Amino acid sequence: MTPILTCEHLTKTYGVFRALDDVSFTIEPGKIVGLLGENGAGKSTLLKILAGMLTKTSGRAQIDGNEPGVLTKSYVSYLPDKSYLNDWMKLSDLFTLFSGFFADFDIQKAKEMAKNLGLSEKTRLKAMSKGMQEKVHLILTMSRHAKLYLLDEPIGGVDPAARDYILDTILTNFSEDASILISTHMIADVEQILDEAIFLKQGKLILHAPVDELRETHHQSVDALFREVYRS
Amino acid sequence: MKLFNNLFAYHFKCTARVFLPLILGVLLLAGFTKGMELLSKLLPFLTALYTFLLIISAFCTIGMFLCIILLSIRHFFRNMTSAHGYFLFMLPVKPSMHLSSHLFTYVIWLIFAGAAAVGCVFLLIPNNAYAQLGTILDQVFAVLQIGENRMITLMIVMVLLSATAFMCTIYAAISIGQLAKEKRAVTSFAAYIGIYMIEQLLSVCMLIVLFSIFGMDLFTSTAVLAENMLLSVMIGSSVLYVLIGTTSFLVANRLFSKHLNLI
Repeated sequence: MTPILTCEHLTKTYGVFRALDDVSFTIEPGKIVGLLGENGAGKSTLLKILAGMLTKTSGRAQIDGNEPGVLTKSYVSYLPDKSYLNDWMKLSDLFTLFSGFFADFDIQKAKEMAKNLGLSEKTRLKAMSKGMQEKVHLILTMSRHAKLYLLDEPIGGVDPAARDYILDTILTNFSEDASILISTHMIADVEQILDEAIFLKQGKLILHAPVDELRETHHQSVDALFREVYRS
Repeated sequence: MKLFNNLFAYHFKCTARVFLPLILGVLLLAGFTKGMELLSKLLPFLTALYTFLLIISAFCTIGMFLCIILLSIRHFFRNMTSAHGYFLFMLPVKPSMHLSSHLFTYVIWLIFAGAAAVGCVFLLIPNNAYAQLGTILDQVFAVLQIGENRMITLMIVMVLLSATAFMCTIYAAISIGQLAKEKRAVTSFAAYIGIYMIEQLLSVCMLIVLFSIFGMDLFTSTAVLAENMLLSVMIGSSVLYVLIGTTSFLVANRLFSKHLNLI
């Protein structure tokens, strides 16, 4: 099967600091992959490079055969770890905005998700709580019929009850041939939905394996393995 | 084209929230001042209030342009370097389209503001001064030996070209500033100073060349500009604006395309 994402010797440096150091891996279509690591491990940097927000220093990244750029942005749906929307906009304005820019944006799906998550389309972002705003960002990201979803800390700022709902939303709103690369350090919460896990430490890829294989080999959960790896 | 229209509509909507009330407010103030002028003729004790309003209106008209320029720069800086950049750079459009949509929005607002300023001037000029203003302008055109229609057209073109070139240099400065990891506003400002110095150097070189063509020395000649020379200076400046604007645009496009560094 042709990989949806290929990274070869991907490196990003800031002066002498190596935010990403010779990272190589591939992701096949239909997989949900956890990008795991402590703060500053390079998770967000990797996602930013793949989303075309940051330029790599060296190496190669290809998404469905193309380097990150204008073309890949039409089939990659990216959720940054910060709020990027104008807070005076209403949810309905955002739906119109996204449907005008992304051919794969499903406005009906977005409306349905907003309804299920208890969000009113007439409410302005500034009138919403931080958790509600995160849900809005997630709706906008997951309402696209993308080939690859890049989610940077999608459950970082929401309460535990909302986390399950968001993970369920992620699971039920992506097609079978699409892949998800999800960055988080809340491993216990996401472990249940992951097919594969990538461990990053100080910019280096230290482990990439199917989650089931990790559990069998190490006789522990991915969360426990993560704690063990990052304690040392 | 559809994406460009959508981008323009987005930027226009974002900026209209501030610019539209600003322009309407200034026009309203000018209209109110005009009303006060008429009223002060009936009630002379209102003359002081009218004079005060006249001064405030004049400052507000100039301030309107300043606000539009500064807020357009802020809008661009915020869109291209802060978290808002994640939205714009997530869109499947080239950086050149981001630059041109910002630039187009800015020029449209400048034209609106220019039209509003002309309206304000006509409202603010006292009724008895219209004839005097006409005489002064006729004298200026007579001294310059240039047709007023041609002069006004050239002036409008020059103002638009210089305003566009200025904004392109700002875009280039911000594109350089975004390369820095911290203090991007300061870096952008420093880059702008550098670009401005190059721009001034080129202007002086162009003037030296033009003056020498007319057998004059830029630093010692005191003769009043003749029509031909004035036209040459204006055309030369326009060419320079196009050159500086285009180069700056290309620099900004290159940096945002190949060295985007959103934090």
